[in-house]
This record gives sequence, structure tokens and C-alpha cells, in this order.
Amino acid sequence: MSKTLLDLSALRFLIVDDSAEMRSLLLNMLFSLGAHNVLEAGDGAEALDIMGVNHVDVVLTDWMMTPVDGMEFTRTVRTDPKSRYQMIPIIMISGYTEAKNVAQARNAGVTEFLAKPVSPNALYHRIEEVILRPRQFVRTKTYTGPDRHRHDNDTYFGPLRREEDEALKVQRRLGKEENSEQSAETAETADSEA
Amino acid sequence: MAGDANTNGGGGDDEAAEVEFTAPSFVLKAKAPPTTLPLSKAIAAAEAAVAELAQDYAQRASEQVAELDGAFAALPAAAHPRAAIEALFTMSHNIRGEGGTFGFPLATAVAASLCSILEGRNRADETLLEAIAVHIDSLKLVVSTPIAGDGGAQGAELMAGLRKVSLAIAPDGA
Repeated sequence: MSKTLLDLSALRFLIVDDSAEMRSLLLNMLFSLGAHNVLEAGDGAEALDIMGVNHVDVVLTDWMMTPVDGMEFTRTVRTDPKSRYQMIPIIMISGYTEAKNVAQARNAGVTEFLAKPVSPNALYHRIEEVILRPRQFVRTKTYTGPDRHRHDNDTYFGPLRREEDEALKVQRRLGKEENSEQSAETAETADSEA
Repeated sequence: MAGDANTNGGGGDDEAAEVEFTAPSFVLKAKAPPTTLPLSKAIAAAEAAVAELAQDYAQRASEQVAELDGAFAALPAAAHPRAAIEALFTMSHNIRGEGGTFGFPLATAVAASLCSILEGRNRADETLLEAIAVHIDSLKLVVSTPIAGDGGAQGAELMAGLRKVSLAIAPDGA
């Protein structure tokens, strides 16, 4: 059975890009994929203004823009106490595709990264990912954004080498504490029953 | 959008690792239910829309390259060379991002090469100016011909030449 389309008509998208060409391209792609409601901004500052007065469900943003680029925009959305959209899915679309750039974007709090050139298929799959497989949200002293682990935390037991593994380490510790509490409870119950 | 939050206060040795988790929100999943329409049909429609926009891309790209050329002409006399180079980088970066998307990956490759020689530069010496000029001439060729796709043997030859130029002016002399 062939894969079917999600109904995107009730979602409102915001495209943030200083290139009118790219905005037009993304707008046409979204409409062809069934979206009906799309807002546009020429940079991060305009996007923040739009988000201040409009409901938005998903953001597609470029990286390099002035005066407010995609990274600063993302950090503001994620960490500004006044932000109504701290957990909104942000898909960054950029030609900066080196591993260090992708890591930088993830550390700023982007949900998905899409490399230029953009294809409709790649765009749809990033949108589908944020709709069907939303990630838990993490706040630490140094990071606010979606959980940067793509693997399933419940089933991944491998070594934690990355700097951003701190959240997962804490989760594991919490899990162990919970298990030891459960063991203690079981032991107490067994003692009282004995 | 907020879900249930779970805070690990930590304390003591764990203080630095204070983390708050919020469960994922499935609001969007409820707002975007599956349809019975085949995904392949929607993707084909989107690709057709892109193809239509791409028909005019060579003309639009010619205008972008002319703008780039104008900014380059002003670079030697620029009062603030770093800002002028950054402006060139931004223009090149836009061509880099758009070219491949509209069916001109060779334009993307040339613009990417131009970005790489501009990145981190504070001033424009003769060798850099020559290298920029070669790249802009290459872009003019790609968009005025126009050369869609990777340009085949001609594109490969062009890129091999630009690689030599880029290596020759690499800051570490590599």
C-alpha cells in the first residue's frame, strides 16, 4: 500500500527567509503538499513580530539573514521568557551543511535541519517528522530545545559520549532511582507480608 | 504546546546537571490527520510547481549575478572591506542555496566555491580579487548560457579550474 499524505490544511506555517525566491519556492511547495495557511517573514525580527500577533504551528527558517539571523531567532523563540512558542517545531533550511554547522543549529534549538538544495520530498519528510514524532522538550542551564537524541531513549543503552548527552544521563539516573525505589518498595512489601 | 514538565532539581554534585523535561506535544498530530491521497501524487505536484518556477530562474539568477558583479566592482575602494566582503558572501550564499533547488547545481557549486574563498576574509588583496573575478565570470557563464544540471564535462572542467584557484589562495598556502 502506498504511503498517504497528512492533511496539512489546518496547520499554519511561517516561512522566514530573506530571499524572495526561496520564500516563493517554499510557499509553492507547501501549497502543493496541501497547506492552506502560510505566513512569510524576511528575517528573524519580522518573524518574531508576526509570531507576536499570529498563531503559528510550524516554522521554516533560513540561517543567514539580517538583522536577525535564523540562529538568533531560534534562540529567542526557545529562551525568551515572553515567548509563547518555546516548544514550536523549527525546521532550519540552510546551505551551511558541514557537520559543525548542523551541530551549531541543533545546539541553538532547531528541531530539524534541511540542507539546500531543497526538494519537495525532503521538505515533506521533515514536516511529517515534527508532526508524527515530536520529541520531548529539554531545559538545562546551557540548552533549551527539543531532545537532541534521535534514538529512542527507552531502548538506547549505549555509551553517552556527546556533550549534549547530559540530559540522557540524568534521565538514566532518574530511571535507576525509580527502579531502586520500586525494589525497595517490593522488599518492604515482601517483609511486611512475611 | 506545553506538555507535562518533570524537573530534576539535582542539588549537590548534580546541581550542574539540573534538567527539566517536558513531554512531547501531539497537538499537531491531531491537527494533521492522514488523508487517503497518495503522497507520491502530492510530491509530483510540488515538483511540477518547482519546475515551473525554475523556468525563469536563469533570468533571475542573471540579475543576482549582475548585482554581485556590481558589489565586487566597488570592493577595491570600499571604506570597510570586511563589510563589503561579507556582503559579497551573502549574495554568493543566496545563489548557492537557490541554484541547485531550481535545477542549476553547477551555479550552486561555483557559488559555494566563492563562499569558501570569501569566508573569514578581512581585506581584499590582488590574489583574492583575481580569484573572485574568476568565480563571478564562471557564474555569468553558467546563468547566461544557461547551463542547467551539473554541466557535464564542461561543468567538471570549470570546477576543476576553480578548485585550483581556491587552493592557490588558501590562507594556509595549501
